[in-house]
Amino acid sequence: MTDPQDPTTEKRDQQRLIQAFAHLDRHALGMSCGIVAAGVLFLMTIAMTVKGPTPCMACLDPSRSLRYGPHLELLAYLFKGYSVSWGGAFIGLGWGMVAGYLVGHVFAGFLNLHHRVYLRVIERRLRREALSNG
Amino acid sequence: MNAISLGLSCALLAGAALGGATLWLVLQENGSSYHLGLLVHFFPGYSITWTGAVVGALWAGAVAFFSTTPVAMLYYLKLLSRQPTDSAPSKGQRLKEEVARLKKREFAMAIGLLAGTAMFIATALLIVNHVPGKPLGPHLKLFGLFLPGYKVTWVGSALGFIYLSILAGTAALFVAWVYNRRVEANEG
Repeated sequence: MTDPQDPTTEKRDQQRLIQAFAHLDRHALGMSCGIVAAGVLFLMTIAMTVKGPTPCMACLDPSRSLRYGPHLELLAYLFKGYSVSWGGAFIGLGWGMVAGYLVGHVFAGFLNLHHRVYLRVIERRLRREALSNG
Repeated sequence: MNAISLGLSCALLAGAALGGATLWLVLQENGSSYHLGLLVHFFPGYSITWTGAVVGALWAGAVAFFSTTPVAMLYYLKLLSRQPTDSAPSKGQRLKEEVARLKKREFAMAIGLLAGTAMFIATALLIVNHVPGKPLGPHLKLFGLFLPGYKVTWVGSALGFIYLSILAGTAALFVAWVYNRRVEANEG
């Protein structure tokens, strides 16, 4: 049994509350996810460019069967200007940053929203209980 | 509750991403829908159509929720089992104003485990659902270009688990480090 008056227990309980309900910094999470996404896309593009053209086993069009990173280049549908080349790697760096930032930012936003709603529900419940207890 | 919040956030994000990507391809007349359509191997009923976008969003949301919630629970359980540090908040500190820090080791372990398991399950699903005479996972095996030794086999799925756990764990470690640095910089 832990003693609720014990300062260590109290400190730990406070820390648990903070861990559970503290909100995420959306900009910071966006930045960190953006940097990682940009780095990953950049390195993958460089790796495919250095490797050179490869036969595309799963491509539907046989006339285009020898290409640089045939599957990675499909990202060009989402990222305008992107290609599996040295120049494309730098464009991918920018796009990866943007996409990663958005993912991190939106994710943190969703999580903060859930926490805010939950805290409000608890606040209302406590207020109602306090009123009913006089 | 916190783990469920995290699971719901991931579900919303994954659902929106897959639903959005599918709708984008539906709206683009000459867009290649072949590769995204391959998700039907994992999400029955999915297709590059308007209804397929809804089905895909629901599938992605469900998969994200049920995969991230247990991992988030593990993350928080690990955090709660730790002893308090000197950085514990003062009594009057307001919860709503407190900015969370990511615990690097726990976060890396959670994300690494999630990514590794996803890779293992994806490979295993392709092996189990393989129809003889057809190529076995021609697209997933392309991971072998980046992960030496990876193949769509049972050994490959174990190797994929190890690779993805390490790589995603390292990426998560870096994300947590950058995030904490920025939060500290913002707080001055």
